[in-house]
Amino acid sequence: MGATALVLAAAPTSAQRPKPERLLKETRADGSLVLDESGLTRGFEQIKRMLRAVDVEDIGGAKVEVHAGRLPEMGVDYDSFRRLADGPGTGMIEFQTVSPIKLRTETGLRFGELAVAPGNVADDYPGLFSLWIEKLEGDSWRLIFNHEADTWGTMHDPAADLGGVPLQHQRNVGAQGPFSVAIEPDGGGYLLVLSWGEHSWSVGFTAG
Amino acid sequence: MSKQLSAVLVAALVAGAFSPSLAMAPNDEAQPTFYRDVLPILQANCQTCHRSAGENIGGTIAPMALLTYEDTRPWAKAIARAVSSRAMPPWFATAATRGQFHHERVLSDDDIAAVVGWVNGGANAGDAADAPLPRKFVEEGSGGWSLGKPDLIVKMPERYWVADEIADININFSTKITAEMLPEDMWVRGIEFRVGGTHVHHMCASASKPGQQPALGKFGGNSLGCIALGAESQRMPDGYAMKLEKGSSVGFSLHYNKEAGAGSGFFDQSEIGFTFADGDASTLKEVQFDPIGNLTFEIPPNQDRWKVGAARVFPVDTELLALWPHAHLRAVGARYEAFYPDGTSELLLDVPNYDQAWQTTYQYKTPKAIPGGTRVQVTMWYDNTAERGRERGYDHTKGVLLGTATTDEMMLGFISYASSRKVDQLQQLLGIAPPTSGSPPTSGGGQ
Repeated sequence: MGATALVLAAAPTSAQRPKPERLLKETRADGSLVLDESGLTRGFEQIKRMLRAVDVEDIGGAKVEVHAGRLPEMGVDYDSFRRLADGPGTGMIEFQTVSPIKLRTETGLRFGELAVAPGNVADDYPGLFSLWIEKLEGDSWRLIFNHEADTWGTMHDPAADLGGVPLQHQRNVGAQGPFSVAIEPDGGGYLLVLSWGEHSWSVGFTAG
Repeated sequence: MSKQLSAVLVAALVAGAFSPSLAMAPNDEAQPTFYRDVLPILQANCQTCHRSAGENIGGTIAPMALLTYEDTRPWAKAIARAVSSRAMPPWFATAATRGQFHHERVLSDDDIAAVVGWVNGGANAGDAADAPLPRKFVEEGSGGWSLGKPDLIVKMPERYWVADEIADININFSTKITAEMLPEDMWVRGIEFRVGGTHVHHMCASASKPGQQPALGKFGGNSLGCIALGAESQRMPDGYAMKLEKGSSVGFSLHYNKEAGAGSGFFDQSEIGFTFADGDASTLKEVQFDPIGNLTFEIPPNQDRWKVGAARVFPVDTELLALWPHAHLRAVGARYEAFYPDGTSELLLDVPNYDQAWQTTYQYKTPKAIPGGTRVQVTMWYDNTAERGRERGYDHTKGVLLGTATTDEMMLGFISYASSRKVDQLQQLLGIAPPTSGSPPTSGGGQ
């Protein structure tokens, strides 16, 4: 997505805009200061909150976070998705205007047989994954976990896939809403739920 | 001279460039001389930066002037090394786009052979009568502005003291353009930034309409452009301009970065020179400048090539005027690609050795037309390893996110462009073409 457009949309009007304040970002070992008086740091956070659907679950003190572009039911990406969902074809849901769904986990997760663990990109570092929804034959769907976490929604590289798990797909006629993500407690485990308009997908997982 | 022959000659010359016997070779007609052979090359390719005083960041960052024989002679061997390895002059785009951009700083094999041959032959001055006229960087009476005397100069509202204890700061200023300065709306063709020195990491400007507050930093409002280390002032081609409305305020977004400590403080009062477009305003194409960016990346520690992507679908026919990849210390590569509605694609720019100290603006000689529905995709790569961290001064043991400090990161593929039809923010965001008269909006449909 065009960052400027995002910022423009997020920029408060003059009446709303707070006076820029001095944000101390860091005091270095030598006592020197790193400051932001531009309002950009706060602006970035506003934009992210506005444009990304986010859900964070605290699991035994470890954070598991999923976020995705809050795409509405219009635009080039929704049109492509509708053609895929309603047509006979198979393929990946690609986003031309946002980055893919992203999973960040500080604890090991298990989606069926698939282990999704911290340390996949750096030792002693949370797990970072991009998630991709793929439509298969017979209107079955699966979720693919990929190690390239910061690519764009058109840049899926199968060579970096960790693996895939089946998704439960539901079509709720009449439902509306932008693309959203949720982590919901489900018995002793959790459910990852992805929704867009009439469509929702879910997959169960456990932690630890 | 054929390229192959030149290349062989360069290799041979470099091999012997530092041989004492060859360095003492006598000056004769066959030997390149400074005035006849080398100075024209320096004027055309080097002196924009290598001069005693520059008018922009790019003009002030070279550590030594190369204007005269006396300036140049002490650096002869270093120059031979730099040009033969193609480390200088600095140009970071690959040959895939050779010839497409202004200010392309690439020496021909013949030029390299001449410079290395001059050094190898003793780096002699030659006959001063052979020298071309000195290059003029600014017009007489321009006040030192490289794009010519501006029609309007807007300064930061006051001098700002970047205090001793500050290592890195982002800060905005705003200057109201009075009716005396700008009695009516004008179209701007040239924008030149004059900043307070090499401690300005970047400077961006925006115009806010009357009654609006200045935009956030390098984003939003009517962005007028940016300059950073290694960049040159840009003039838009004939027929293209940005609108500056009367009563607007000009926002200055400054990022200062320096070694903190006693005596390091300095004043800055940067300014912008605007050159207005001539001719019939109704025929001008309005230029916009903004980034294709990724704001949610997280570069983990100990990565040598972390990939971050971003893209935008242009819903209507568009002309690209310039590309400006912007990132910070960890960035090592940048690429722009176009994916056309017919399924084909094209490499627009490939910078495999990105260096934030050389933030080149790649300005098309001829605006690049892309059809509506084209997706322009930007990819940048980052190195967050111990080796580079030591070299560039950041902590590689931590993940890094989007942020304003030089030791944070950015992923912004800026573009200057002109749309064939007005596109509002939501349409731009979602790739929706605005309706033509009597038709509903349609999605751009990039591949």
